[in-house]
Amino acid sequence: MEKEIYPGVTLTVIPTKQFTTTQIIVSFTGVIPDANYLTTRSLLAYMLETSSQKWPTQKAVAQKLSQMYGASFGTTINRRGRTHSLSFVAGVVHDKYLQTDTDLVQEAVMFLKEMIFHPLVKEGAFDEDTFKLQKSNLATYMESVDEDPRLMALYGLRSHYFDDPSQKVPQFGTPATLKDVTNQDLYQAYRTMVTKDQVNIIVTGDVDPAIIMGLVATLPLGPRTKLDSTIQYDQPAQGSVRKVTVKQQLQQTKLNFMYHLPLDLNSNDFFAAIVFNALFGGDPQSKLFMNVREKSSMAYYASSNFDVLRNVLWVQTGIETANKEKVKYLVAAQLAALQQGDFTMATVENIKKSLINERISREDTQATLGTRALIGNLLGRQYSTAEWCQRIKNITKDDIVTIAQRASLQLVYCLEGGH
Amino acid sequence: MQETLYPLFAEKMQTERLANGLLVNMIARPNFHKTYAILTVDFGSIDDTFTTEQGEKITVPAGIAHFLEHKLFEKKDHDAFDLFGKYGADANAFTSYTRTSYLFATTSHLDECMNVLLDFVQTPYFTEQTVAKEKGIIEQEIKMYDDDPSWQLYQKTMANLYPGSQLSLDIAGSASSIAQITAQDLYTCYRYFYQPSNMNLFVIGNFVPDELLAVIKQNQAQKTFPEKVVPQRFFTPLAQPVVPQTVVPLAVKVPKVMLGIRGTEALPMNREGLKKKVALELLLHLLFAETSPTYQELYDQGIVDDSFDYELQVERGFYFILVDGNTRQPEAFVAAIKEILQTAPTTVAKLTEELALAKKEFLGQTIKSINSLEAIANRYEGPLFGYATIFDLVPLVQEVTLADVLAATKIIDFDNLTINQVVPQ
Repeated sequence: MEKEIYPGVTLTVIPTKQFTTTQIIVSFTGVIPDANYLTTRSLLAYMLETSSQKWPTQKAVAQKLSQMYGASFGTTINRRGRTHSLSFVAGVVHDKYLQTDTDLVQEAVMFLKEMIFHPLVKEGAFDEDTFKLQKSNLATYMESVDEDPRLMALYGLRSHYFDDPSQKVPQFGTPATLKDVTNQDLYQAYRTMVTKDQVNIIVTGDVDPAIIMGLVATLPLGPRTKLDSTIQYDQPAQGSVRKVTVKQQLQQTKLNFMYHLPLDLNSNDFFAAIVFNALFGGDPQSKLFMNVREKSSMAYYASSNFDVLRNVLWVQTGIETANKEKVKYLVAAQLAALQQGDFTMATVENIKKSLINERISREDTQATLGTRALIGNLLGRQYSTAEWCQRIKNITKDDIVTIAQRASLQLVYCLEGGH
Repeated sequence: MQETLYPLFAEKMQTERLANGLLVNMIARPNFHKTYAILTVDFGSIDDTFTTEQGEKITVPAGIAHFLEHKLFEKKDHDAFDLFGKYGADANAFTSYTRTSYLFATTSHLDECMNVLLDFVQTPYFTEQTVAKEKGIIEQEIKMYDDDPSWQLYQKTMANLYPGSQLSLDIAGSASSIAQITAQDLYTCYRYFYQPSNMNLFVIGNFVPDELLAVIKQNQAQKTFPEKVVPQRFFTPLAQPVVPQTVVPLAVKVPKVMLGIRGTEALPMNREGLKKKVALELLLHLLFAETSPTYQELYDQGIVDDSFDYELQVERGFYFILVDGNTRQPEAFVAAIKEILQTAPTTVAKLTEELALAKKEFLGQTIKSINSLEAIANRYEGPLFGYATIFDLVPLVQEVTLADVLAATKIIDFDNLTINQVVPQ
């Protein structure tokens, strides 16, 4: 069941008896104007996860969740192309397993109402001590990324590839912009979120849509403008390939590649890209896995991913420094093979089976239902599993070659170890 | 097949031990889409010293269980991953201190996948060439983890908790230990541990148990297995005293601290043992969770942050607790944790309301985990907890009393405590 409660506020209820829990997502989505926005929203996510008027400390929040039989609650942030979502997710077990007369779904909605709409705010600013503490926590988190060489190499790749300042930086922002965020900035970001962002509410579980509608109606939301900008970010390809090498004290070198891969969201491109990516480096039967890892033992990992909302394809490898040039050659050779149609449909058929198996399997994860509904709503269209599987099955050799030929290497980024 | 009913969840587990000793457990869930199967061998990184049929006591190089796990997928003319790939199934494997598991998940061709699983695990093929090739890949895997300061801290803590025992070594071994592994070593370990009577198969999802059992029986009937032998295993984790502390400089921005305490009183291998495990987990929750008496204070003073964590690990022959986190005040962190541990018996005695709340939380978390096929199958530990499943935890959690949790405080013994730090260079 999907219903527009107000302009810009949509409720989706997916009744299912498959799970022991009910999950509620309340998601706020806006268009990213600049890099600061990402940092401020991340800090906001930290603040709103850990405090509210009624439960001002983490301990108080945790006690309330324990009381609700170990209810889960958290905030997440997601960049999708040019948009940014701050989501509140709560989950409770179904009352029938508790043999008590609880109404945990109602409690969960009331809990969310408090956490989202009654922040720990006084006179236009958040509680100063909590603000300072969460700012410090976010700073610590940002530092921790630098301890993970694989993540460091991925963020390094992106920061050198993207020209747009808001795309360059990770979705959680940067330490430099975090330093300058004031309490008042944060409160402004909060007001914008609740009054102007597009809102999507998704509920999955063994629930009655009518009852859910009644509960959601108690949330203090009003009409706002729906997101109208294009979600997709594109950065036209450059003629030459940039090379960036950063030396680190590491055992294992990370060698990453970024390609421009323009995809039309509304065409078959999307499905062709899924199959192409799996064949290139997204599946154990892929070219990268088979030829860079397995056959030549050149890498512990060699994989590819793509982002249809930012028109990019990227490859990550973990290698011995000495094999750097050899691996570059091997990776280029795998893409060239795909561009020339040098692959068998037998492998493609297996990969399609893998993709289909994965898609159907994900229906066994409750969170997937919620996320798919949310993304479907943001993109304005959703595929049923049956339709998705059919469109994957329909992808031809030509479709794959077409996508492969559009991939153009833009950047080789190396986090070089052994120093 | 024997049936175990879980009426509250309208679920049923069907069990049969085959003629060759393989234990099979099945739970059918028609409203799910995939089926998940996991075949577990009671053989892990600690099992490197054992007696042969001739009564000879041998020790194999460290990391061999993990090495074997990698190698088993590769056969003379094919790789098992390719066979699963033909059906679009998802396959994987993992090795722990005490077990090796091979698993797959699929939404179609279940019978074929089941045959692939049983065949590749039960048909060993090792040559010096294939062994040599794997060394390169595993060396890279070890190196990748070497770059991870959290992993280093954990390894150091295990080495200090169980010095001189197999637990002090990385499950994957080291570059030098795996360099010594030969194909013959692999065949030897395979012979003694990869026997059907030393394995269990857990299947859960959208399938028909009787039909699948018939497929499994037919597969097993076509094979001959060597005579059953039960090697004596040598594992003395407590032989040497705990190393009380170490400080290691690494590439971190903020210090990381990890305290470990090893259990010394053996846990019974049955439901009673599982109940004691739950009591220990509740104890840790009462002492260290966000709702605990001291957590908020430590958090506000910046002594702990969001990375603060704690865990209990219970496996065949050992158990330990860990408390760790990033902190800019490592001395205060250590002092605070030690204080909480030292005063635990007196503190816990007063926490009746908090225990009731904690039990509600544990109950809800357990019910939530029942959503996951993987959780139910992976957390089945066979004889370790008297063949219990997650479903059995539901009534157990409700039975635990304050007295049980107080009894659990016995694990807190500073003679068996280690304190380790990773600090900026």
